[in-house]
Amino acid sequence: MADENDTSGDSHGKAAPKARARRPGQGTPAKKAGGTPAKARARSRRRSTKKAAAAKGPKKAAKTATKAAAKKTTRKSTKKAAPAKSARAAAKADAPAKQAADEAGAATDPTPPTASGTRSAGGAAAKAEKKKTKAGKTAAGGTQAPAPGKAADDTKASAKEAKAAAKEAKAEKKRTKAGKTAAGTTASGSKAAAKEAKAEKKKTKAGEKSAAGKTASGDKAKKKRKKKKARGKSRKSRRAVLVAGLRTPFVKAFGALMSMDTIALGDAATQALLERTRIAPDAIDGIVWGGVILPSGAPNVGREIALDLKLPPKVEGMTVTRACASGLQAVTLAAAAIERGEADVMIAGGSDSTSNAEVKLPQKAVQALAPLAFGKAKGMREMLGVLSQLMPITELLPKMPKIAERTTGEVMGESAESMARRNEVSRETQDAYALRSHQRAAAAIESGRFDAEVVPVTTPEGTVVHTDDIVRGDTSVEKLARLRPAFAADGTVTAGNASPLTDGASAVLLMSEEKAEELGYEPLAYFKSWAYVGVDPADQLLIGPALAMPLALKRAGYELDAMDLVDVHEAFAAQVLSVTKALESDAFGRQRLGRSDRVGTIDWDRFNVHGGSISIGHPFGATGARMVTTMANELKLRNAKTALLGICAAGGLGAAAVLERP
Amino acid sequence: MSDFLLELSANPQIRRLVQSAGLPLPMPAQLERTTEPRAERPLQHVDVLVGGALDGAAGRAIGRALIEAGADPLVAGASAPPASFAEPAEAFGRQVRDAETHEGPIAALVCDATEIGRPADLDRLYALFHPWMKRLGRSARVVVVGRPPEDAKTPEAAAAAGALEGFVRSVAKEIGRRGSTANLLRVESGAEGRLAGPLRFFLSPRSAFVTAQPLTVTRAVAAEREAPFVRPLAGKVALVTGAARGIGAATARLLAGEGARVLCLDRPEDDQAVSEVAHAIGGQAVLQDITAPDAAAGILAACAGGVDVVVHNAGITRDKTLAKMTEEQWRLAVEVNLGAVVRIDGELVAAGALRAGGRVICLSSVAGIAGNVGQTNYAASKAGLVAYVRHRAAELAGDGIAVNAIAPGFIETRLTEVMPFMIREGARRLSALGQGGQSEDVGQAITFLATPGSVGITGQVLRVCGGALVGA
Repeated sequence: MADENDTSGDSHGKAAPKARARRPGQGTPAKKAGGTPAKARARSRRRSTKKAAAAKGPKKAAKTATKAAAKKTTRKSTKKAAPAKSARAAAKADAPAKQAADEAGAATDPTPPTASGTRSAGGAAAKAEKKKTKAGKTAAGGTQAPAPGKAADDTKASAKEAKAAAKEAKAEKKRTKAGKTAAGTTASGSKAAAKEAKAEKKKTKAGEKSAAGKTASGDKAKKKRKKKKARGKSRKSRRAVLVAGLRTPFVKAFGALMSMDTIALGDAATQALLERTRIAPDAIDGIVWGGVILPSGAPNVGREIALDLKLPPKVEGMTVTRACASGLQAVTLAAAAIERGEADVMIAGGSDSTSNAEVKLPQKAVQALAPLAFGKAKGMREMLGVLSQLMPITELLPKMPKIAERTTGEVMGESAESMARRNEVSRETQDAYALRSHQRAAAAIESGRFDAEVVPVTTPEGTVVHTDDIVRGDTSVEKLARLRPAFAADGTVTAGNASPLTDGASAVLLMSEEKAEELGYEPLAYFKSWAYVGVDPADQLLIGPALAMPLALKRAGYELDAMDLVDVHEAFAAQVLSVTKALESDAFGRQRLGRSDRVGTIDWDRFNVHGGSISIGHPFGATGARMVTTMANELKLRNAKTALLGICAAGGLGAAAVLERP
Repeated sequence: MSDFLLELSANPQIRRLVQSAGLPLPMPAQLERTTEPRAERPLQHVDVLVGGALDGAAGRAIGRALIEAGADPLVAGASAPPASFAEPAEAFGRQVRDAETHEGPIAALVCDATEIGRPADLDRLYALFHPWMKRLGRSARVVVVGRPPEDAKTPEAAAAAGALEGFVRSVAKEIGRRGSTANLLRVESGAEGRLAGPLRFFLSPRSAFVTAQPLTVTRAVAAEREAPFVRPLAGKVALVTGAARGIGAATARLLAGEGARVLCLDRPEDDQAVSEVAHAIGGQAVLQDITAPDAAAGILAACAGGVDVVVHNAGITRDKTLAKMTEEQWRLAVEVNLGAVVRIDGELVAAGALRAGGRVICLSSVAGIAGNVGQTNYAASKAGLVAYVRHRAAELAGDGIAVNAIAPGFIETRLTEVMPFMIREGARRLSALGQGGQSEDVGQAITFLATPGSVGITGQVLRVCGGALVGA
């Protein structure tokens, strides 16, 4: 159900038709003034279908344009044979134009001027008449001489020439930049010449045709279509490419990075990104940051990072929260802004410092202490009054926050337990999966795979943290089997097969493809599609990816087996395995997704190839950008094409994205 | 309003005393009711036992409906879960369990009897029910799904299909003393997709006072878009006449609980009461005498923009034996209960105020169906409504509008409170559940017929009588 303004959808095809109306020389001022209301309606109708076609992609839009043109030409030919009929039909369709038609004695086209598919059977005379009415003159009028019509023609042709010239000049510039001057000039010159010759030919042809009494509208239509296609292409092909990404080491909560709060961690990751990419600070347009535990005094972490790093004040910043999918949400929002042309260069990422989670005082204490805090309780009597409200004192002790669903009260681990039960995922399978995660992450660290992605961080105390400290390459199924179930007495979910509380941050640099070329960055990947879905949190809280991933695939136009890599956030092994079971289930595909069979079969060699959140850790907001970075780099290393990401989130949400290598 | 025996039976010690003393006092069971609005998965913690053919279209629909409603169904008499259940179970993460391994009572029993083609096949009913009758818990629900006898292709099939009704009525009377209900759904071939709504109703505490009833599920009404099960009336406008008190007020509250905006209509004299009801539920009070000549105009004005659900609940009694009845008594009862209903519906339809996908629900009565001394006028009007809904249903089915009647039995209201003692006792006890119903029970049945899930039911009378013998 994605409408054109839906930000979760195709990364292409965000047409901006408004610009069209303001381009100079597009048509006579009279024409632009609108004509009849019916024409205006038809005009907007055409625009909306164009919008829809554009949303489907540049190729499809071209196809529909040519299809529509073909329709028009066939219509024209049949109408030519039956002018009277067309006159009646056209007159019926356009009441205000009817009068003009009666006057002009020829059929008028209710469609707007730019759709030059006129149904007039006459020649130039009929066309001139049509132009008269289109120019919005009154029915009683018709005093307009044919001259404006011709002038319209001329202005159109000249406009086209001007455009061709401009295009060629642009192409020239590009080529000189690349250094191919000599060959370029001749090529561009010849191209321009060819274009001019074409335009000339067309003009003469048009003149001939009209003289011969044949309508020249076919050519005009073609010209117009070409113009539109060209305009559309330049708008639709703007992609947001990822050029770099990195992260701090992910360490266990209340550990090495405990003294750095979420803003400090974000500063570290972003600073490292700036240094690594050497991007000029004033080239950056904004920062979109994702986080779950936001400091209540300064929740817009993205903006705080920009201010901390002394970036130019024009670098705007925002912060998003979508539970564990906050990081991915931040990256896709930045990509969407670039695709829409609102920005050229964006930093996106996320961070969370679980160690610095603010623990809430019970609201009763807050309200009782308010007079003290605001300086209203001055005398002894008032102080005692405040104190008496604080009794019994035990009610004031802050409660340790649990990761529990607000609406159901269920702790997330309990939700994972119930998913394990419902989808029959055994303890052994979960432990085996956790082992796999640890082994793969350890292998990646050993081999230096993460060296380019992980940057060392210096804490305020002076210690330097280099590597992820949660990964246990030496663990085994026996060791994991010894852990006690953490959420239910007879449960299967343990601390070993669940993602741990972690501190860390990650950031990526996104820019438009043109900008990347201009600044000399190599594009690693772009977002072919993304999807965010909601599921019922009371029923399998973490099954979201099983609905989001097929949706992202559908939007990207791919099937699961076309994916070279798949990366799923490992909140719990039970959750990952429930999601993969659902994707491989024909029943699920048929009953929940309206498919004829399963989404696909998981190729485990391509699945979470370097481990995941269970072994690397899960600072909630940082995971999204971590996954995007690792997958983008992996696509380059393997010279592969596509990667599918999937993230579940508290609140019953699912997120997914398809990354593609350009 | 008090049912003395019901109160007595609520006390476990008195029950034991009565039982051990062998006193011939009927101890009706306390019925399990609900005041909650509809939930996403009402069968989540309900042990539902399923039996019967289960591999046809009806079996698939039953499986899908139960599993989507959150049940982990117990399948009886099958070694492996039937395919029709395995697939939705896998898709929605539910377990299909073997009934043999289950210990403890079962809360519901659904029997797919659609494949019973000959009288001999009725043995399957015995095979399923015989072992499980004792295992049904208190306030259990039994639903048998069969085919309409009039659609049968052969005389044997007709005989077998017809037998289901007698079977279900008797089962209802056997389990009624435990507060359990049994009902029959006759699903037309091709209408299996419309079973989910009625199944949810008959397997929930909402249908506490509906028992021993057959309902036919058809494709007559034009299909609607899928509607959610939670807050199914969100965005809909409902008109309830006689909403000041009793069944009307209860219905208005329940409809609002499911998301509807309720226009509460009653006479101007009842301004206070109806405004209270409307205010409490965020609805709108409409003060109109439905017998007035301009009643329809006033109602149309209130329904500007259209109405989706119309509940004709306003009704009066003017009891007198026919020989002693005055003309005014006769005319008023017939006019309010029948004439006004027909006329107002006609105006709503003519003005196009009744939106597509809408519902019309008329309040008939078991007394109307059975007849009663001193109620010639009342019974005439209530019986007239039965035929009226059948006709209107056929007329409006193409617009996706379902028209049905509810026939309440003995409902504890201030009307029935003033009845003579012996007649009141008789009315209460001569039923499967052995007690009178509450206004909420009728309201729940009306709300069920108002939801999109009841699109398969039209032109029928649903008795909310606790299995009363009167007029059955």
